[in-house]
Amino acid sequence: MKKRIVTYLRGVLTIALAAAVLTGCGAANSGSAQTASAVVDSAAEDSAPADSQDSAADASSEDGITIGGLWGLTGFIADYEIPGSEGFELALEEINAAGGIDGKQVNYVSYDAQSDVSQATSLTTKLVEVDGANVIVGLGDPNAAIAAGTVAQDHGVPSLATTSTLPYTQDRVGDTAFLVPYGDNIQAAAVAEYAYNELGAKTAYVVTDTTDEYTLSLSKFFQSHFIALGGEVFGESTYDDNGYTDFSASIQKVKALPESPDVLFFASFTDQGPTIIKQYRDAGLDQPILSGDGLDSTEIAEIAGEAANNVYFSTHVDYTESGDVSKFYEAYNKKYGKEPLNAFAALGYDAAYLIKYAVENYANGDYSSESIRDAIAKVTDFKGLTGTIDYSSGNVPNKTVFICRFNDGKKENLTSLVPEISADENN
Amino acid sequence: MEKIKDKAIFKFITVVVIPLLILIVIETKMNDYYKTVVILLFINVILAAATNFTNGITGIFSLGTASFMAIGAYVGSLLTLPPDMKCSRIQGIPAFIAEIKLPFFAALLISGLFAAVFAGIIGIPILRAKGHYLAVITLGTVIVVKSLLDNLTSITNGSRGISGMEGYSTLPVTVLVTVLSLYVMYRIKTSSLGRGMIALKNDEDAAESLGISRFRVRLFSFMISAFFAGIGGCLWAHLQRSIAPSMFYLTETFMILEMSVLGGMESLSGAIPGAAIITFFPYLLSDFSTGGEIFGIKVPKINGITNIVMSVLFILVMIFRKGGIFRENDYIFDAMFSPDTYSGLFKKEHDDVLKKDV
Repeated sequence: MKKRIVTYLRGVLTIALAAAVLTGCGAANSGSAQTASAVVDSAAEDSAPADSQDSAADASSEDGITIGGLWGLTGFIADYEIPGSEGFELALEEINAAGGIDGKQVNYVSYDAQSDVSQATSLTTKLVEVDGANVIVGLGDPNAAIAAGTVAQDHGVPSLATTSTLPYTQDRVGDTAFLVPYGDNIQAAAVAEYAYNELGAKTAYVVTDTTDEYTLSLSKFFQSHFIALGGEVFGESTYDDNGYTDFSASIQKVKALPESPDVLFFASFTDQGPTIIKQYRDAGLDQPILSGDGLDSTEIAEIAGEAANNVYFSTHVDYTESGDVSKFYEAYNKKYGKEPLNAFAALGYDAAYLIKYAVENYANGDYSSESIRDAIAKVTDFKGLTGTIDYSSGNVPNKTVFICRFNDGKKENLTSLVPEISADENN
Repeated sequence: MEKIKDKAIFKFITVVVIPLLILIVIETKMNDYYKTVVILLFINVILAAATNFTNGITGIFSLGTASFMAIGAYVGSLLTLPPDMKCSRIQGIPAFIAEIKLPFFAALLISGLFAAVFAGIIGIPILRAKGHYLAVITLGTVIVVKSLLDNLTSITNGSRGISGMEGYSTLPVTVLVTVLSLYVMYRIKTSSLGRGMIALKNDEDAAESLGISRFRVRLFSFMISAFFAGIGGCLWAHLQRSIAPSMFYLTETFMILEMSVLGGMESLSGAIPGAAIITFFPYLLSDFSTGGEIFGIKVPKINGITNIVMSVLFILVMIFRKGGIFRENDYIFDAMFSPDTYSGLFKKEHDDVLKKDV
């Protein structure tokens, strides 16, 4: 009998703990703003799933557009998607406070895709079918963006990827998939040009994370452009695990080269950033390290400290610029109480204003998905924080690339450039 | 007088009529989102049942289901993709693979066979181990298969994955394949071979003394499990329509294991509640993860709420019901696949009574 009571007590305690976790967080965060009135709408629609398709469609045509947010807020892509979603929600709040799009409030429903492809596809279906989203933003890493984008494509709904920089998104998904950032071909070429022209590098060694489409194409485009410029790539090491922590094999390969390369190029994500940088520096390899926007995170400089000096990477925005960028920077700081971790916050912010710009200028009051897709495709001169977006020559914009470096634990903007890429490099 | 729950008509209504009606309503009235989630449930049921088949019934604790699923998904996708799409997307694909284009059901069968053959080959050495050692080795196969898929770029397109498959896994197709798979697994479980598997789990030496070949029976069980995991993978690929090696890695491995353990490892029916919890919970909780208002209660934004709730649930099950929800009982399939359920509908009451007297 006593044992039973203990068992039940344990159960009750566990439930109480779970409840405390849920409600406790609730009390702390209840001020966290939810944009727009959409939440109420979506809740109402959830309770009537059978006829939601019709009601969702009706609601969206009357009340202005419905934007579906699909963000990887947990999992490996969260470092990029949390800032992105925060930037997007900030912009949406501003837009709605200023009267919305075409004078109508914007509905916004968003879900956490957990960096998981099956969640991404089914939640995209949910956004489109249940919540009646006319356009989808976010989408996660390239693999998830392709899967979710394909679902959106099937429903004719445009998708705006803010994190994925896959240059051939349109070929893989279709004409409804747009990128807000530039493609990997552009950023890799810009880094190669900077290294070749500014750092005077003639030889390079490449380390590639083979687990993701992003790092693979970044590495490929860097090598092809560096060689096209006249440089030489000594070799490439690969690793194929997100949890990889021991880079000694590739370090030995670099050390065994008859001539030490002028620069090292790491195609990797934030997770490995500090580890790989530290290990290379500890091994006495102190030439400049180059990377793409995957290493764009102030945390890397903080964790790696001095080892991160002389690390150069491409990014999408220069937060030290005055004007709109500094306004955004302050608004972000005010709303979230922190600095944007990386450029993806600005990309999310741009995505919201891009939708506003496209719909107000080209949609002529028609808020169907087809009309919004056509409107976005017509954008040729949208000036956002991250540069000018022009979709006239394809769904991946050709934007300015900003080159940064880490210096004493801080991110330092160096220059911006638009690389010249020959057509055959794009495949 | 027999109990209501033992009556054929009750069994027939609860395990056949009601689920069928629900499925018909979903298929005809619901939109794609709800269909997708239900299809996902059925695929997860196959995967969990395949895992139970080795882990619970034969007593080989295998973590390799995700790797067999991966093989099924890749083989199935490569067989159904149109040749021109394969050539343009996968650089350097061998011509004989690029030229094949099979109907979906043939691809489904072949993907299962591939997974089974793979399991047979690796099973010969690894089934010599048992217990924790076997679990670790099968976890190794998950890593090896992922590494192979990452690096055999001319066939698998590396970590870029393959996309553009047709959405063949519709609700009727998935339900049909799931019911067939479960039927076959259930029949094997209840055959003399299946009883041999259970005997091996309970006492290897005693079972061997009765003429059950430890090696053959375990290998057979491992291959059957892999076959259905491969079929599940192929269905999954044609539902998601985009696959990459990272999708069949540790997250998937432990998700399948969670389903299997929650439902009850030793029962094939356990796959149903286990898969239902793991499949539906993330979607029920997806509203919580971004905050908002649910049933009039204001919910704040909590990232990762799904993981918190799932782990608490898992701990609760482990404390209060160690054998999983169904323990070793096969209520659902005993009722669904037993001929008595169907023939019993047409028998008069006294037939049963007579039978009992005899």
